Amino acid sequence: MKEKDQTNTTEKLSADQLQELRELVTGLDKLSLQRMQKLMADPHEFAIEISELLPFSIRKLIEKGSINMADLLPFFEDMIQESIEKNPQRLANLLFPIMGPAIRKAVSEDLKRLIDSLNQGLESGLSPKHLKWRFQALFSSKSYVEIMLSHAYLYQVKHVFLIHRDTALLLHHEKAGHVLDIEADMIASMLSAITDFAKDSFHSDEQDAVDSIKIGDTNLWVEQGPHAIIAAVVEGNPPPDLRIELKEALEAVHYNHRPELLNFEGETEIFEHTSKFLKPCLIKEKKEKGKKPPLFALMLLVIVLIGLGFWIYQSIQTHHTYAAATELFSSESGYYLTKTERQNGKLRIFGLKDDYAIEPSKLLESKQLSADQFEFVLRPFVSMDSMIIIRRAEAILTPPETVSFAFEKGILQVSGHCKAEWKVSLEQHFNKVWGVHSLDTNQLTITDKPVRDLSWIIGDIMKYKFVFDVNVLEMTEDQSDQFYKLTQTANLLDEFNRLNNKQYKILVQSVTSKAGNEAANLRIATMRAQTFLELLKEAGVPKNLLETRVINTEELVEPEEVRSVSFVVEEK
Amino acid sequence: MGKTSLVQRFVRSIFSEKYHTTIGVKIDQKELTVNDVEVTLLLWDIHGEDDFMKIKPTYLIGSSGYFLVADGTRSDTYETAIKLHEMTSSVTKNAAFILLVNKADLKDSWEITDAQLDTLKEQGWQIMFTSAKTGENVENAFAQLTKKMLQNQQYV
Repeated sequence: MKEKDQTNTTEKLSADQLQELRELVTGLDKLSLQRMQKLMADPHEFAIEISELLPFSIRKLIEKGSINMADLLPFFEDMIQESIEKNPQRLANLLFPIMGPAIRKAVSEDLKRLIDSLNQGLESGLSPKHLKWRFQALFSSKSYVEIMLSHAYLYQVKHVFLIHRDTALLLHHEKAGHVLDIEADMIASMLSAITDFAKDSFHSDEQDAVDSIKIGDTNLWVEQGPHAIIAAVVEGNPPPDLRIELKEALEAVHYNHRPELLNFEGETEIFEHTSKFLKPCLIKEKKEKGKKPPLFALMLLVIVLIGLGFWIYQSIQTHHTYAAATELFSSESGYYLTKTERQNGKLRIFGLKDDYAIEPSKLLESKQLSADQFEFVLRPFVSMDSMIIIRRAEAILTPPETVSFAFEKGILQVSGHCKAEWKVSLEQHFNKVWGVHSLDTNQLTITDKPVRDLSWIIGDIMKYKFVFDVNVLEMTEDQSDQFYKLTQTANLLDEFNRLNNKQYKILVQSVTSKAGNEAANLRIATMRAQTFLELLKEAGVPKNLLETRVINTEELVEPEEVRSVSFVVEEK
Repeated sequence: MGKTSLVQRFVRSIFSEKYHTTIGVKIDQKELTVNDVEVTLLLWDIHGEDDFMKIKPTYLIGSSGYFLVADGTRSDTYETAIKLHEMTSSVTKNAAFILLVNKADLKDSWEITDAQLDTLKEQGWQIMFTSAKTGENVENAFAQLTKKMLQNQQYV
């Protein structure tokens, strides 16, 4: 009965009352309850509602430690693996904008190490070109390899095309300032066609693509992105860095214009903004080079100037040397120059030379000139130069140190002092000296006794006569004095013989009489003659100059005093 | 099929014919105004002769529209056009197309019959008769195709 009453009571509650009851029980107003009901009824709405709270809740749970990251990892790994297996291209497209920089960073680190080791390896490069680059590196803030690479690449990017990959339509085109306009639309499509053609013809792999085409000095470099292609027309020899520029530009285009690229239907206006990504690709190396001071050119100029200066200095020095040598030999006594000429780096000197002239090497040495720079072609001649005549006279006449010569107008002037003997020799031989016609000995003093002439000597010797008493052999005191004087003159005769190469002899003539014992007289006379001969020998007269003769009075042509010794000079 | 000579007088070209025999395609450009919209068409004149198997599908991908050109005096070109359409439509996204039956000036000598063409029309094909010799209907063909392409892109 009680249960029935309760049921009746419930049935009797109106909708409003029920609502009021719900609000009291849940503590929610009508609108909130309706929202809750809607969420429960519509899973989609419920999911949206939950999605706003779920990330926050998960984060809170992780912070609290209720969820461990390590526990979640397998789920994420499985998800990624499944995604890759299902459609690898999608993930590749998503990662494309970040993969490039990450890969480049890793590669650039490796490249840096490679370049460093390359730098060390190339330090040993000693070719002229490498030495030139080394000099540039020395005087600039760049490394040797940078300098080397900058010389290896000389190029200019003339056009950059941004092409939509699917439609092959040109999205944007940039060209270098002075380059002529081209039909960019058609060329872009044709480029696309060519790369497609190459890919279709030679590669089956979807990932492979043409990345460069070379036509003579012009290169076409292509960088492929998921939705767009960048193609750069480069003249010259571009460095690998240019490809990085193109990649970065392509990544920037994809990052900033991905929706437009995906939904592209031919409208290209939006891609005008890609200009800021494409223009930096219009690089030309000449511009960079222009900013650098031409250090090498300056150094080369300095080296050339130093070389030129040295050459001029050497030429002047050589000219001075040759002029000095020419002047030296032209003015030197005993030389007569006919000509000079330069040959094989030497000065050849042609001319005449007197035997008594100073030797060329000594002359050059006296002026501190190297004999290696000269070659002489000299013929002999007789010089009439005063100096040479004096030298010739000195060689022929061999004057003592106390005598000096001077020469003027054919006359040899002899001054100083000498012995009489040398003067005699001088007078006999001066005419053997070429150029000397006469002697002037007024200034020459004889230091020893005067030389007598032959007639005086003969006369002096022959004036002596020694008369002896009967049976006397010894000389008196007077006679001894006389004999001393005789020996003096006899020695002069000897000297005369030597000087004149003559053979005058002294005949010791002993006279006797026939009175008394003739034989005894003859013996005494012979003894007297022999005694004088010995005395003369003792006085220094050479033996071969002496001869004895005994004369009886009856044999005399002219009357002579008997018992006398006299002297006769005869030539042998 | 004479398609090159058909369009050559009406387009701007900087590339020579030899591209056909080298890489199999030659790019031309055509500018025209359709319904006050200025349009620049880039034409991929694909070298295929009668053997459509030689055509590289890569050249077709991404195109917005295409002409199929048949020679009215040769019935075999009718079949080829159909096969080409099948291949092209498989690699393009709903691209607009028109079948041009050329040599309209020699209609008396045609081997392609009206019945054949009617069959295609029933399948929704748009067919136009052109003459490379007289230039008949060529400009109009470009305008029609462009209009269809713009319709596909909801410009008109």
